Amino acid sequence: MTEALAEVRDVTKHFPLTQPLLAAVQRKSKDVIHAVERVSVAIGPGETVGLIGESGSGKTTLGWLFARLHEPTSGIVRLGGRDISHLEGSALRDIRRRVQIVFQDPVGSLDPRLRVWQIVGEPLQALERLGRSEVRDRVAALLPTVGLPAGSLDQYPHEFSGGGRQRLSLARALSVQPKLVILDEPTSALDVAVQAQILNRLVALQRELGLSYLLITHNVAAVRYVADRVAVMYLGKIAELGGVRDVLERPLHPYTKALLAAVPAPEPGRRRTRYRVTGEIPSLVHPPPGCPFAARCPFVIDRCRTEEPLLRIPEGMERRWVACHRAEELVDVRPADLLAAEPVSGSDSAAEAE
Amino acid sequence: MALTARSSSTRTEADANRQLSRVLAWIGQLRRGSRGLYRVLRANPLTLVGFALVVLLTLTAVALVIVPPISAAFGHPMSLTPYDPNALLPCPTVGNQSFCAQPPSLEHFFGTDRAGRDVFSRVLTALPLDLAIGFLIAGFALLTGGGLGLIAGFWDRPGTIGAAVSLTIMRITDVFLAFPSLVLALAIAASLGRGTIPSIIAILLTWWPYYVRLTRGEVLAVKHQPYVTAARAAGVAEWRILFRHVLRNIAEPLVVYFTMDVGTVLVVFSTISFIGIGVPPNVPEWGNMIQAYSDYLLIFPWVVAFPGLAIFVTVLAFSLLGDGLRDILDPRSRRALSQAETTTRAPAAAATAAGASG
Amino acid sequence: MLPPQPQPRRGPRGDVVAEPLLEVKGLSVDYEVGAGTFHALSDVSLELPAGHVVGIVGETGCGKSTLAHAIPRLLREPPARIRSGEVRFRGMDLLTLPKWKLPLVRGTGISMVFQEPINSLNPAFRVFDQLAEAVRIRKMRESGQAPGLVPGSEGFDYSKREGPKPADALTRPLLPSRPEARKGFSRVLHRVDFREDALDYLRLVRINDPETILDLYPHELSGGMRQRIMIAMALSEKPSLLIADEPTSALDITIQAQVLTLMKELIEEIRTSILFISHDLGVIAEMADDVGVMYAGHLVEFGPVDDVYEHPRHPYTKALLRSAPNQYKDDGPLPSLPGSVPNLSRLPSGCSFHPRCPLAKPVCSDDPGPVLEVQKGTAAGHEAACYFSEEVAGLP
Repeated sequence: MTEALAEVRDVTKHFPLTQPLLAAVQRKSKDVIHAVERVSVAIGPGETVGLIGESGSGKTTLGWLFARLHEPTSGIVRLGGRDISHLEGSALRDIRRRVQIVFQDPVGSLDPRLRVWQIVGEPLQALERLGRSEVRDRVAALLPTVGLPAGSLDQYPHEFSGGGRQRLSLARALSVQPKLVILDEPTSALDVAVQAQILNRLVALQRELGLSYLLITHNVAAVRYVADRVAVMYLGKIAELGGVRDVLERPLHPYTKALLAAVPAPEPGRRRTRYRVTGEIPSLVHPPPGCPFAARCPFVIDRCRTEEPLLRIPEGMERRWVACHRAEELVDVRPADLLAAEPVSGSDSAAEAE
Repeated sequence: MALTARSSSTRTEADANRQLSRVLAWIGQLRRGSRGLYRVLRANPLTLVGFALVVLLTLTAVALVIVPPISAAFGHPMSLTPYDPNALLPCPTVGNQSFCAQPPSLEHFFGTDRAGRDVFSRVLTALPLDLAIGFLIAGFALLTGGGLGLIAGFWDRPGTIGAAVSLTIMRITDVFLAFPSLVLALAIAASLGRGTIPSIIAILLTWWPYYVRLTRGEVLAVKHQPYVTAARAAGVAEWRILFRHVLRNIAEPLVVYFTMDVGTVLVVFSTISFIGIGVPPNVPEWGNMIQAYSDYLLIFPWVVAFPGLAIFVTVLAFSLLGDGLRDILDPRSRRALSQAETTTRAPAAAATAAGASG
Repeated sequence: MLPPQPQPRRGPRGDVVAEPLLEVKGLSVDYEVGAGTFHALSDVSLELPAGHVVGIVGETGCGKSTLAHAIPRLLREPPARIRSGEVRFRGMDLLTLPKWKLPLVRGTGISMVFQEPINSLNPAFRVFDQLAEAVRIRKMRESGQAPGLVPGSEGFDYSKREGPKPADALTRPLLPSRPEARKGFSRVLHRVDFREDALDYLRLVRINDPETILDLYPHELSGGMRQRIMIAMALSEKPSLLIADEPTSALDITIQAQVLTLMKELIEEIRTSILFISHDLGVIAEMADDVGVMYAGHLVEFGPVDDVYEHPRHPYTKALLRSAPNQYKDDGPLPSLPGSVPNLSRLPSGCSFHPRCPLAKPVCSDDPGPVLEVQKGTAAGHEAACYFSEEVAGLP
C-alpha cells in the first residue's frame, strides 16, 4: 500500500474562549470550542480528497491542520511520513514548500497594496530566497498556467474579477511546486460559469503536476467532479468516508442523506417538495452527548442520544466508514425520501430547538 | 520554468537589458503614479487646494530658512521678508503722540503693531517656526506612539509575554488619555517654565497616546486579515510580515491622521503661546502675536487678524489635504477615478513579455 | 387620500382579466459613476400575477439586484438613475409616486427580505424590539391612525386590540419588554400587548422556542434563525408582494432547504406573491412558478420554470443550465462559457450576448437587439429574446 502523502491521525483541535472574570474567579473550567474531534484522514499522492460539511463542521480547521496553520491540541499530523505536529520556526517553514493552501476569500487573501508579482511570488521570496528579477520571471511563466496573462505582473488585485483573484491565489500556492494543495472553498465566491472554469483548471493542473488536493467545500457537485474520495463532516467529527461515487450515490449516514436531499437541483417537480429535516446545528462549545446529529436525525433512537457512534466499516461493505448505529438498517433510505411531496403543516417531530 | 544555460556574453547582454527594462518600468510606474495623483486632484478640487497650499507653505517656510544663510555665504545676504521682523520702524507722529500701529497699506501689507514692527514680516517669520513645530511634534508622536501601538497590537497574543506588555502599554496610554490634552500640556509647560523648548516637551508628552490607540487598532484589524495568514502559510517570517504587510496597510490611515494632526498641534502650540506660557514674548509666533494684542482686537484688528488668518489657512490646508490623502494613497480609488476597467478580467490567451507593462 | 381606482383590465373579448399584481414595463436604470455610465437594467418588462412566485435568475452583475431594489424605489437616486419605464403595483405607477407616499406602499404593499440577515437586523436592539416596530406600524394602519395606501390583505387571525395612540408612538422604546416591568410604566402595557403578536409571528415562521428568542440580540442567533425573523418581519404587515433578494444565499445547505420549505408553506397559508431573486438555478426551481433569466441588464428569457429548464429558448439560458453543478458529468472537462460578462458601460451592440454566443450571426450585432417575445413553437407565456431560438435545442 502506497504511503499516504499526508495524514492526520486521531487529531483534535480545541480553541479556548476567553473566560468572563466571574467564572475565572469561581475557578470554573474554561469553555472551549470543539472544532475538530478525533479525526483521522489520509491523502495519497496524486489523489483528491473532498471534505464536505456546513458551518461548524470543522472542515476548514481540519484543512488548516493539514497545512500546519494550526497546531493540533492532540493527535498527529504527518507529511510524507514525517511528524509535523509540533514543528516551529525554520523547520516549519521547510515543510511549507510541500503543502500550500488556497484560501476561501478571494478578496481578503490578497494584500491590496501589493502588486501581482509580489503576491504570487511571496512564497518564492520567503521559501526559496529568490531575488526580485528571478521572482518576476518565475511568476510571469506561472501566470498562464492558471489562465492569466503574463503581463499582469504589475497590476493590483482589485483590478481582477473574483475568478481572476482566485486564480492568483492558486498561482501563489503553486509557485513553490508543492505536493499537496489545500483548497478551501475555491468556488464559493464565484459565479456558476466561472466555477466550471476554475474546476477544469484544477483538474488539468493536477494531471500535469501530479498534485494532491484536499478540496474543502459545501458544493457537492464540485466534489463529485474533482474528488476521488470524500469525507462528510458534522460538528467536528467525520460522519462518513469513502469513494466519492459510493458516498454520493448511496449515502449511508443520515446526515449525508439530509445534505444531499437539501441540495437544490434545477429539476422539474421541485416546487412541490418539502424538506423534512428540521433543527439547527448544535453548539460547538457544549456539544451534545451521543451522536452529534441526534437532535435533527429523522431516524433517531434512544441509543443515539447516549452512545456516540464510532467510525466503522458497516457489515457487508468495504472501504467505507460510517459513524452511525443504524447504518445497515437505513441502507435503502434514499435522500429523496426526505423530501415529502405533500405539504407538511406544523412542526415536525424529533426537532429540538436551540 | 527553469532557466536554460546561457553563454557569458549573452548573460551580460541579458543583464543589461533587464536593467534597462527595470529602469523603464520604474519610470513608467512613476508616470502612472503621478497620473493617478493628477486625476485625483482634478476630481477633488478641495484636495487640490489643500495640496497646493501645503506645498506653497512648505516651500515658503523652507525658503525663509535657507535663503538668508546661503546667500550670506555667497556674500550677498538676502532676506525674504520686506522688513526685519524685530526692527522698530519709525512711527509717524502727530503732535506729541506717535501712532505706531498703522493699518494695512502698500508699504506694510498687514500693517504695523504698536511697537512699529511690520506685521507681514512677523507673520512670515513665524511660518517656519510654527510649521516646523507642528511637523516635529506630530512626527515624534507618530514615531513613539505609533511604535508603541505597533508593539501593543502585533505581539498581542493571549497567554504570552507580548500580551502582558501590550496590556501595560495600553493602560499607561489610558492614563494619559484620561487628561484633556490641552490642560495637561498647560500644566506641564507651566511647571517647566516659560520657553519654546519646555512647551514643545509639554505637548510631546501629551500627544503620543492618541497614536498608540490609533495604530494598535489598525494593526489589529490588519493582523486578522486573510492575506496575513496567507503570508504565514507562504513561509514568510513574522518580522517580514510586520514590515511588508502590516506597515504598508496601516500607513495610509496613519498618514492621513498625521497630516491633519499637524494642524491640530499648531493650534495647541499657538494656544499655549497665547496663554503666555510658550514662546518668549517678542519672538514672532502666531499665537504670541495674537496674545500680545488680544485686548486691542477692536482697536487694531489687523495685528490680531492676520496671524489668526495665518493659523486658519495653515490648519485648513492640512485638513483638506489629509481628507483627500486617502484617495491619493489607496490604489483602489486611484483606479476607480480613472478609466473604466480594461480587458484584464477575461483570462485571455495573449501573453505579453515579462517586465515593463502599461 | 387614495389615488383613483384603476380601471379593470379587459381581454381581447372584452371580459375582465385579472390585473397582474406587479407590472414592470420597459424599465431602464443607469448608474452614473466617475468611471462612466453603467446600464444596470435595459428595457426590462415582466408581469407578476397575484398569488404567483416569479424567480429572477442570473449571474453577478446581471442586474437582478438592481431590479429588486428599483421596484420599491430603494435605489439611491444618484448614482442610480431611472432612465425610463413604469412599475405598476396594483395599478399605481411607483416611479411617479411622490416620495413621501412611498413608505405607505412599503410594508403593507411591498416587503423585502435581503441576503445577509445580520446586516438587516439592528444589532443594538433585541428581536422583540424589532418585531414590535413592525407590529406597531401595522396596528396603527389598521386602526386608521396612520394612512396606508394599500389596504392589508386577509389571512391572519388576530383578536382585535386597541391600537396605540400617536402620542405613545413618540415614546420610542428603551423600555423593557418583560412583563415584570409593568409596574410604574403605564405605556409599557402596549408593548406587552405587542409581545403576543410578536410570539405569533415567531411561531408562524416555525421557531420552536419563541419566548427565549424574543429576548436575544441578533448576534446571538444563528443565520437561519435570523433569516426566519426577517421573513416574519417582512410578513408582519401582510404585504401583497414580497421581494426576496437572495434570501438564502448566505445560509448553509440544510438550513437553506428548511427556509425554502418554510417560504413555500407560507405562500400557501398567506397567499403572498413573491419576486424571488437568486443566482442558483436549483433554488429557483424549488420556489418559482415562472422564471426570468437576466444577462447584462436584459431579460433574455421568461416563462414557466419547468418549460424554461427543459426547453430553453435562449443560448445563454442553455449555457447556464449546462454549467449548473448538478449536471457535472464524469467524463471530460465541464462545459464553460468562454469570455466573461460585458462591461455594463460598454455593452455590445445589438444582442448583448452575441460576442459569446455559439449561434451568433451577423444580424445579431445590429442595433436594436432582439426583443423578448413568444417564439415559434413554444408554450404560451414562454418568451425569449433571440432570433435563432429554434436552434437552441440543437446545442450540445
